[in-house]
Amino acid sequence: MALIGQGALILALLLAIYAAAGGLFAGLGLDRRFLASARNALWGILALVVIADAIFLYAIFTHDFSFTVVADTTSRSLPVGYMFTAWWGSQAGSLLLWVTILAAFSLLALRATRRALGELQPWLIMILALIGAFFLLLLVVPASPFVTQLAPTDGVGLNPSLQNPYMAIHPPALYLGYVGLAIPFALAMAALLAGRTDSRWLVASRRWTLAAWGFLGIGMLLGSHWAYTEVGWGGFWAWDPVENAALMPWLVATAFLHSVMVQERKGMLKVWNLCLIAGAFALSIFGTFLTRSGILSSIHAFVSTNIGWYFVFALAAVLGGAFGLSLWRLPLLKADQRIESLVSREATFLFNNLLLVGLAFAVLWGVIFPLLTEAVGSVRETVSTPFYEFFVVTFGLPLLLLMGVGPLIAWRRASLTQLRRSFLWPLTAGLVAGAVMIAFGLGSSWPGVAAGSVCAFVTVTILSEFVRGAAARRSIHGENWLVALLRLIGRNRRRYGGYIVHLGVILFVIGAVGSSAYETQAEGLLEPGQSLQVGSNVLTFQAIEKTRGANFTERAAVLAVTSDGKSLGTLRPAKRSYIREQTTSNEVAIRTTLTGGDLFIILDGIRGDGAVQIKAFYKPVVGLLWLAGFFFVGGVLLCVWPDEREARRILQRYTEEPLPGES
Amino acid sequence: MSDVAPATPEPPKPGFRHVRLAIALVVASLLGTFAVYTAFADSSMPVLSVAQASTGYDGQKIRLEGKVTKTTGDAADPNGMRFILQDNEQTATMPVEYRGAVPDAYRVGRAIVIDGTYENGVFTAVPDTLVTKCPSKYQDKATTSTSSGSS
Amino acid sequence: MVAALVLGLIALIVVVGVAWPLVRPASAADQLDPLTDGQRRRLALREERDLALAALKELEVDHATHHIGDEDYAELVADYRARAAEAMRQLDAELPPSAG
Repeated sequence: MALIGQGALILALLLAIYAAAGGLFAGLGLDRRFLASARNALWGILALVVIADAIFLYAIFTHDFSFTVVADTTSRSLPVGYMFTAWWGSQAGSLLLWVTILAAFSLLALRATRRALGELQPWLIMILALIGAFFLLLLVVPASPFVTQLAPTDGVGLNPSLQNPYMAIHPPALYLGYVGLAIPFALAMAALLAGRTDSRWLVASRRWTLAAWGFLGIGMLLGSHWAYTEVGWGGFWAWDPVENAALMPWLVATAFLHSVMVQERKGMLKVWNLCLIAGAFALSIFGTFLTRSGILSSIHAFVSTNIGWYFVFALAAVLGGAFGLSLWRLPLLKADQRIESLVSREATFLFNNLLLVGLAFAVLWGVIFPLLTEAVGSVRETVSTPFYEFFVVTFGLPLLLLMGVGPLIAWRRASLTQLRRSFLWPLTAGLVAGAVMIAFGLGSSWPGVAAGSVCAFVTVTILSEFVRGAAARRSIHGENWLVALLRLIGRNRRRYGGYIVHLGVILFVIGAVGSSAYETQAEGLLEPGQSLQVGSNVLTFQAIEKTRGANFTERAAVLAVTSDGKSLGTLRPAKRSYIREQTTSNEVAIRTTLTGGDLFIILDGIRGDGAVQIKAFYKPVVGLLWLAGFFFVGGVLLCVWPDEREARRILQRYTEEPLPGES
Repeated sequence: MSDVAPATPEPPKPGFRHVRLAIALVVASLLGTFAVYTAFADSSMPVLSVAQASTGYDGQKIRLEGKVTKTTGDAADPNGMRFILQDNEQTATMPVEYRGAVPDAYRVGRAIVIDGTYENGVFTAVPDTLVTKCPSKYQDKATTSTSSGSS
Repeated sequence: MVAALVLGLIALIVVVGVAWPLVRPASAADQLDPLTDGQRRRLALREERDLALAALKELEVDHATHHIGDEDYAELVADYRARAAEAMRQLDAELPPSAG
């Protein structure tokens, strides 16, 4: 079995190399039949990788511990539901997933661009096949899932942190995002190679970027929710390198999604957009690499893990290739127009880009800081949460402000009288919100008040955009409010989808700032009958309860919760001991109130005599973080949803005269 | 593509100079913020092994790495817990006093990372900073943070 | 042994599938010839035209929602109209689908 799996991967690698060469031949115009052949090779890769997947999963599900990877990540007592999670519980398994997604995405991208970008196909195949070849090479040589050993009687089990429903969807979502960013990169490089710098490829890559960006965002949100409810230290983001790995490409892709609008409308920022696409993909490779190698623990660890050099090579190839191709095609990338005024929408997009890229750079700096310091000095240094928080606040607040300013400013230039009219209500709302927060005693945290009033400013701006647009439709087309609003959104999906995502960001900011700036905390050692107060809630420790699960035993502290004398039932924070894995995990207890605040309880320890150490938080409005996710998903879906009018218009542009191949 | 100029050739308008200036200013202020913060905010701390930490870092905030060899007391104890950290080379040891959350994977023999200061022969840890490094029997960290206790 | 046979079979299928387009007679289904200079030029012109038309539409919305004042609106509309007209004039001057 393992032999067939390994053989399938080797065959797939050979096919990928062949497809790259075939794409090159076809692109150079030597023989168009090579194109069809190379495309078939991509289908072959998908089929072979699926065979490898099937064998790998079969080994997991049948407890075939002669597969080293299977023995290292599963055990006989592992619940069936988590066997899938074991797929991405190992380095080899997650690379296999990467390649599978890439193979499927490559074929999808080829299909989607067949008509209007036929000329790009050979180059697209070449780039995608090269990326595929790299990851297949990793799977064949340093990280094979099909290494065998003398089978032990049982495996060591899966890391308990991964034995969680979130881990069934969070890593695949991130991978869909990471891999998705390969497609815009391939499209951009193919366009450069073919010398096609009209905006057709941009439109195609915009949608792919949006989808990948959406998956990354969902993946991060799920990861945060998992960290919040399962890891159990009371926060949702730890600025861990692995989390930052997903954040960096997401930030750069966010910048691209904004600046692409400037290129589409004004033919500016062409080189900049190429940089962003290449940067986002390079960071996605870097992210995959971070998650999979121990590089950050030390330079020495990096040198000793053989997989490190492969990734350095890949990063250099991506960045060098993009740089070289852009330089070669520089004459085609001249800007058609210039920015005329500082007070214009394109200028706000530009500043938004600078801030986003600046933030991504700050995060990158924090991530590689230990390596840099170790390389120049003898002592490794590290940065921690305050470093990241400083940059999130100093770069994030202006970004938030721009989110409210942008929609109010017209393209090209805006006049002062218009600005005064547009800004009157949003500004008032912002100031009032700040004043109200201070009046209600929330002035204890200045970032809290600042974020609160900026959020109010942006919210009013966005809502007024909906109202103004609907009002205009009403007066022009004579529709009623509801119809006007729905048509407004339906006819301008990207714009209003974007606004909905912005509303999600506002909710997220309120949730994040509110829950950390205005949190109350209490902890104490409780004997049975003793109680602890946090906010208006009183927790009374009653008893310890022991239960047994499939592969763990659990000890829970039963706490009766009352608020203002009213009983709110019991909560059971617990500690779980995994038998086979020989580790314990904290199971926090969370009670969500109607206003979105959480009572969050951690069982820190159980003393021999039966007393328990309890830590409790009350976090107001934290529920908005997760509500934000729904806005995010809704907005992204609205933007990604195919716009038939746009598609028709673009297709018409490219078919007004017969293009090569049809002529 | 390049031979298609905008229908009306545009001379650089005065506004364009302002835009260029503003972009330069924004970039400069971003870089400036960055440089000033990283240079002066004391935002980083050294990551040291037990042997390194005991020489010349007295009273300074550091991040300590090592393996747990002996642990007494309990997280549930108001007085906190004490444990001994040892170098990987097993040459130097250091006693640590700690209070706060203990990660799931903590136990004797595990490699950990912890923040604090070393003074008078004892490493006094900052509460809630104990993080276990990934145990080698699992593969590397899975796709997301398995860190607990930080932040 | 069985594994080797299975692998060989898979390899055979793959090789046949990949080689098939190379041995079968050429077909014209795939668009491969690069664009001619004339086509490129016209594509750019059509793009310029579409951009100007889209900008006009958006200007109208911006004006209706009071994002820009009447004066600016009039000036910008005139500018984009001129651009669209110029692009269309040049497109008409070209004789599609003449090779450039």
